[in-house]
This record gives sequence, structure tokens and C-alpha cells, in this order.
Amino acid sequence: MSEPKVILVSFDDEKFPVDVQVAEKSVLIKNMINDLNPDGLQEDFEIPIPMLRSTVLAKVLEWCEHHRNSEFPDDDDDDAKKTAPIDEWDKNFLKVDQEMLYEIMQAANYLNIRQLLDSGCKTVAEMIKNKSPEELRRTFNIVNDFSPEEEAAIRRENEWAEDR
Amino acid sequence: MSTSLISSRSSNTEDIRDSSMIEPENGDIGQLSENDAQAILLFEEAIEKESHGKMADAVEKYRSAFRLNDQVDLLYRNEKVPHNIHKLKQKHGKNTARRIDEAALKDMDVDKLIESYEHIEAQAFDPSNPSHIHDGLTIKFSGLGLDNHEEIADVSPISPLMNMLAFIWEQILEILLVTSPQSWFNFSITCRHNAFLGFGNKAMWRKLCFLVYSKQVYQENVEYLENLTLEDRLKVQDCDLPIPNNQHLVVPQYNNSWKYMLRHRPFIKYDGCYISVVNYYLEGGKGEFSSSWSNPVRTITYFRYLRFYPDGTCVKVLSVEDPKNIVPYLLKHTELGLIPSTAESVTKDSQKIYTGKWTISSSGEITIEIANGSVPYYRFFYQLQIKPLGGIYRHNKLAWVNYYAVRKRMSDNDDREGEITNFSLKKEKAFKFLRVRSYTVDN
Repeated sequence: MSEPKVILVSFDDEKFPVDVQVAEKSVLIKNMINDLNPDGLQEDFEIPIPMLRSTVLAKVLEWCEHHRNSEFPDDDDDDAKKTAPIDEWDKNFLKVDQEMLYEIMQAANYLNIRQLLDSGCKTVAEMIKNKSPEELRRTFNIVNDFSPEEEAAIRRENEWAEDR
Repeated sequence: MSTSLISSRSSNTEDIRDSSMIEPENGDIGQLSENDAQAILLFEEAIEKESHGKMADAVEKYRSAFRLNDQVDLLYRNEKVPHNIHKLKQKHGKNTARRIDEAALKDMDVDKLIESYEHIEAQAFDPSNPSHIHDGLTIKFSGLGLDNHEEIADVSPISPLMNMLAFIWEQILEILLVTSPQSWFNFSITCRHNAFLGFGNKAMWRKLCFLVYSKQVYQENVEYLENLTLEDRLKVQDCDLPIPNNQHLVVPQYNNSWKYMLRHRPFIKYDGCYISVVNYYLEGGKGEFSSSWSNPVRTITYFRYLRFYPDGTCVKVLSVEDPKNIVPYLLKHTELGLIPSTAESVTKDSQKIYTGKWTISSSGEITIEIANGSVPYYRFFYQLQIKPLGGIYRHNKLAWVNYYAVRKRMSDNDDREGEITNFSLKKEKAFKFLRVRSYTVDN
């Protein structure tokens, strides 16, 4: 008999059977499995994920599948983690439109998959780097809603802090 | 004679390579006569020389420009300034180069202002809203009704990323603080909503405090450690130090406010160098049979360059060369300890990079010691005080306090050892910080 599977069910009722090891990349799912099956999984176990559309869930599970054997250092050296370049595979994986990137990051947060959320944050940070404020407004399609005085005052008060 | 461009930011913090504002752009002066175009070009070169403090060269260029066209200043204003403002708006947005009510600005409480943005949503660009339209944007109407539909301009929504939870944005902005602080600022100045995310969150200021102060070399700590035996030094814990590295132990002295601490506690910056431009006039003698009323005057310009490292070392160069020839080469580990000489360079000695040691006191006084400087029997000391520049750019200026040398022991019975020679500060000018992108903490 094959290993029992975890079956994740998306908002639109699509079923995704995956190995326990893959599903447990999500701390939320891992805790659910352990809480409800204290003696380990005996048979297939279905978990509804009504927060996620099937396209997003598929994408997140693709990440979990790829990283099923990845060991992530559990270090708390914050700055080293922040300056480390984004994982090359993740970088390509997250080359998606802003809508999808947003949904993947929200999903990673909801499912508690820290490394996926980290990669998402780095991807957004990369989108922001080397752009002028006006270019950033175009990137995010937002308008400058400051009055000239507000903008000048906020600049004066904060701009010096970017040098260190 | 001074002509300063209207710029949204002080030019001293602009990256040295980002001098597009002052670079002459020949291609854009199409309709002008050759003479006028040449005059404008000279005028712009003069502005550049002036901005570097090279007054003699600047005067020379201004003169040539005015000789070609005695109204070159007006011509420049009419031809080039509108173009430059347009370019700035493209880069920095609608509020660039707008007249600002200075009185209103002074009365603003920026912290309160930013707090008031807490519940403001980011808005999408809407072509039917006149306040969203400025000359920096091309408006495209699409989806205009052809049949019996109403005429509706196409409003695309804001990026979904703008709706992300605040704590995720906090993570993104912290990544930017560590890796690219200018990007943290540029993002936070895009709109009110983002200003709250970037400037209204005390986690940002805490992060900056940790990044900045844990890399300072405190005089008080150095002295404390020097007075201990080697054995005791190993046992010292952070909280024993007069100025601990753990900023949580320091912040109570600053009203428990991280932002207040960053504003009021001086620090040395490593992402650039400090430059002092010294300008003075030297009166020459008249020629033997000259009938001139006045003596000829010569302007002397030289530059002092300083760069600091978090390991307590620093480098110093004194040169007549302007920053673009020195700054990229102001490094600690160079093959010869020299700035590569350019054709104009005068002597080899002026290109030497001297290494020294530095400390900062808790009140922001910097002491630099150069043991092996330009005079073999002198140990040079600079004392400088960190000050804000123009009241806005905090901790961006190093003002002279003292400049002296102590005589070294040169022979066995050197009775002049320890003699102090004070140097005049009359001609010296304060150092100003210049950000340099190519610098890392140890190159």
C-alpha cells in the first residue's frame, strides 16, 4: 500500500493530492495534520483551503514540491538573511504578474511558509530598487497625493536618513 | 554670478556620477545659433566648476560665456531651465520645482502629519481627475464609448501589491533599509499611504539605529578597554561598555524614541566620503612697469578628502584635483597607496593616500590620528565636530575644532619629542558628506 496522501482542496473545489512531506512545508498544514492525527497519518487526509483559488494553490504546491528536500537554515541572523540574494529557482518561479505575486505572498503568509514569503518580499524589494519615486508610482499605479508643502516637509524631515 | 538650478534635493548628496543636471547636453540646443549654443555650453561648464568650488575656473568660463552673448544668463534660463524642470518632474513627480510656502512648511509637525496618513489608501491614477494630471505624464484614454456607451476613461486599479498586509510591507522595507536605503526613501515618498508605511513605523527607525550605531568606534569604549588588562578585556560584556552596542540600552536616553535618537545622536557615515573645499585668494605683485591700480589676485583651490571605516581606520588625501578624479580611488587597499595620476596632476605626493585611526565621542567629536603622514617627524591630529548641513541634512558636516601635530621621537635623546605644533584653521573649511555608490564597508 502506498503512503497516505494529503489532499488539499481549493476554493473552487479542485483537489490536489500531495505527499505529507510536501504539504508540511506549510506550518499551518503541518500543525493541522499533527493535531488531528496524533498517531500519524493512516489514510488519505483531506484539508479544505477555502482561501485559495486553484491556480494559486497549484503554484504554491509547485514551490513546496521543488523544495521538498531543501533545508532552510533556521538562523536568526536577520541582516545576513536580508542581504542574501534571492534563491535562483525562486527568482524564476516568481517571475509572474503582480496579481499572482500578491496572491502567492498572501497564500504563503496564510499557510505559514516562511521561505516562500521571504522570497516574495525580496522579489518586491528588487522591483523597488533603482527606481525614482515617479517610476515607482508608475510601477504600482499610484498617484502622488501629497501637497507640495507636505512633500517638501516630509523630504526635509526624512531624506537625510538614507545616508549612513 | 551664482546660478543654482532648482533642484528638489541638495546636490551634495546626489551621487557623484549622477550629474546629469549639470552635464552639458549639446543635442538639445537645436534652434539656437552656434554662437548662443556655445555660450550656453560655457555657462553650464561654469556652473559645474562653481559647484565644485573651483572659483577661478568658473569665473573664466562665465567670462567667456558672457563675451559670446552678454545675456547668456537669461538665455540659459529660458532655454535650459524649463527643460531641466521637465526632466526633474519626470523623475521626482509633480511637486518638483513648485513654489513652496516656507512659512507653512516651518509650522508643520511632520510626525503628526505622517500619523494622520494611517488610514489613507493609495489611489490609482485617474485621468478624469484634474489633480492627477501634470505635464510629466502622457494620458491615454482607452475604452472610450463608441456606441451609446458613456464616455468613460479607463481607470486601471492600483497594484494589488499595495493591498498587502502592513507587516509584510514592513519586511520588504526592512530588506531595503539593509540593502538599499535610498530605495526605502524613494518608495516611502511616493504617496501618503506609503509614507506611513516607511516613515510612520518605529520598526524602521529602530532598524536604522541598529545599523548605524553598532558600527561606530566610540572614544569612550576605546579608552575603557585600553585601561583593562588583556585578560579582563576578554571578559567584557556589551553591557559593561560605557556605550553599549545593544541599542535597547541606549534608547531610554533619547525619550525612548528611535527616530529621536537617529536625529540627535551623531554618527559617521560609511556609504561615501567627506570633502572639504578650501578656497582662498593669493595677492600677487604687480609687474615692474605696470600701471595697474590693483594687484593681481589668484584663487587657490584645494580639496581635503576623508573616508572612514567601521574598523576604526580612515584614509585621507589632500589634492588640487576635483572629486571626480579622486573619489572613485579613495580606497583603503590600493596597490601603491596612491590615487592614479591624471594628466593635470601636479606632484606625486599630492596623490598619496594616508591611513589613520579615528574615534567618535558620544557628543559627536571626531579625533583622527595620522601617525605616518606627509611629515616624517610629525604625528598629525584632526579634531572635528559632527554637525547638520544647512539645518536639514543631519550629521552631514564635519566642522574643524583643532588641527595639530605632535613631534615624534626621532633620535635617542630627542628633547623635542612631544612638542605640539598647532596649525591655523583660518583657511580651512568644514567637510561635507558625499554619497558614493561604489563604496563598501571595507574596500
